Amino acid sequence: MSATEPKIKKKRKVSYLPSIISIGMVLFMLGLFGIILINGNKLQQYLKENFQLTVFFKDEVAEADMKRVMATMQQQEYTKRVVFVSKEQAAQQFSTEIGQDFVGFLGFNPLLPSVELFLKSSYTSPDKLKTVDIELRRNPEVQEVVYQQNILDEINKNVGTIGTVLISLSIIFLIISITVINNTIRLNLYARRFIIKSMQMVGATHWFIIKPFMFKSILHGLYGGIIACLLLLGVLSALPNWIGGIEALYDNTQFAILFVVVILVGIIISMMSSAFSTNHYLKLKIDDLY
Amino acid sequence: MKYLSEKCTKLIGNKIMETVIDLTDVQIFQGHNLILSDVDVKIGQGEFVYLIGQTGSGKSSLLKTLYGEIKLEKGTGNIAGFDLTKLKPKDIPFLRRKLGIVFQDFQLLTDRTVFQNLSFVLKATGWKDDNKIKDRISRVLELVGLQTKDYKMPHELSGGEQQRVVIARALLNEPEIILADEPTGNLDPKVSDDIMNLLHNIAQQGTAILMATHDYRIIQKYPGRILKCAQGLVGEASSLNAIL
Repeated sequence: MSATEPKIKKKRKVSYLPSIISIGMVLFMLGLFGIILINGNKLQQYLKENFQLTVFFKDEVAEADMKRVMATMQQQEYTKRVVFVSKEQAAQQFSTEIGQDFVGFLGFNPLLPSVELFLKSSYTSPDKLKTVDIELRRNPEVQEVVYQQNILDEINKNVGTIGTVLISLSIIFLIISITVINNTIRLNLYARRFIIKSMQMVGATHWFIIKPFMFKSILHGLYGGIIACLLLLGVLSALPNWIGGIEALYDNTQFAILFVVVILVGIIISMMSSAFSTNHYLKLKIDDLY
Repeated sequence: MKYLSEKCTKLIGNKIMETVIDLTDVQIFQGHNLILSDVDVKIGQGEFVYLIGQTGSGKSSLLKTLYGEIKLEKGTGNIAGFDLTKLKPKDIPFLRRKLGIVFQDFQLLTDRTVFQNLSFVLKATGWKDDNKIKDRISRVLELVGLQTKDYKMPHELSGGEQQRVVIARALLNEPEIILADEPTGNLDPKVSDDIMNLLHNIAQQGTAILMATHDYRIIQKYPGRILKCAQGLVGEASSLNAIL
């Protein structure tokens, strides 16, 4: 073995590095968008699940009955959590808000005991909310159910718009990723088009020629995916320093799924681009290669 | 799938030769352009045949038709047992395994060593045993005088050496015919002579050689049968002097 051979091998490996890095960068961009999508979803869920209905009890209802009704509410499928607010707590909160002791002024506490009901995000659509409202009002202990429909409408409207924008952007990002990775692989194979043709000239079948190129592209997709995941991990670690409290939205399971998807996207796009491009050059005549 | 034709034979001198190329009434097109017509060519086992003609006269097109790069649309043609008129794209690799193809620009796999170039061919054509592969490669490299250069990359070899590797590659599967498209076109006279000696030795061992060339010096020095492409036809020339 000559002394120059390791050098040549090293040079050959290095020549693949730019394409691996390109694939890694595109996948990183796709992954960043995935993080925005996941956090956007979590934010939307957070907003919806902080929307509250206030269920007022009739003044004459005994505390034991209120607790029973509250326990029933707690068990409902639509309930995220419930918070009981007694007459005294309500008066205290209101006094703090207005800065006056209105109970002392009036001589009695006109406020009703209530339960603050927080719904699961999937029950915050207008139809489902209406059903919950009707169901709550059926309780003879319940005086009134109050909620700010306009705020919820606003949240739903904005979430819908943001959702459409995010889905459109994710399609665009995916198309960009496919295009860039495909072009990177195609450029790589373009440089090897004569080698591909020579392989064909010596009697190799299409599959025999395509196989090693595909395998190499799978590796490049994998390496690119790993680079992207490492960068994404870096971003996820650094993000709480820039945006305080964002870690509350982090969902490690979803991030793990995102990393697997990023790597798989890298592998699948690289593999398919490689197969299509190699096949393309195999179908061309020698004269068309120039 | 092979389309085995009935093997033709012909008598040259006192020897009965098996026909490895048999073209009858062939027309060759490049796209829609008719390049050659009324082509009737028969080449027997071990024959050394030159294909001459000006640039653009159709020499390369004829060779391309023979190795399946151009589809034979009109006429009948058989090469190494394959019927060119019935040749499907999936049959082409199997046809090429029966041929050795030598190009002016070598067309080696520039990203791997001489040994890897040759082992690629063997593996692509179904060889599995590493020891047999090594043996076969050393045998063909010995034949072309490059037994000590198997570790070299193509760019580390001279033009003559690269062409020898290409010839070694062509010999790996003991082809019935070698199609050589101006194999000495990029080489100096001394190296060209070496390559010609090598090709003549190969022909003497029974492999037919069809070689396209412009180099009349070589034809004079290494006589052989001459086919001439001119004005859209392929004709047999009795000698180089007759052409000159």
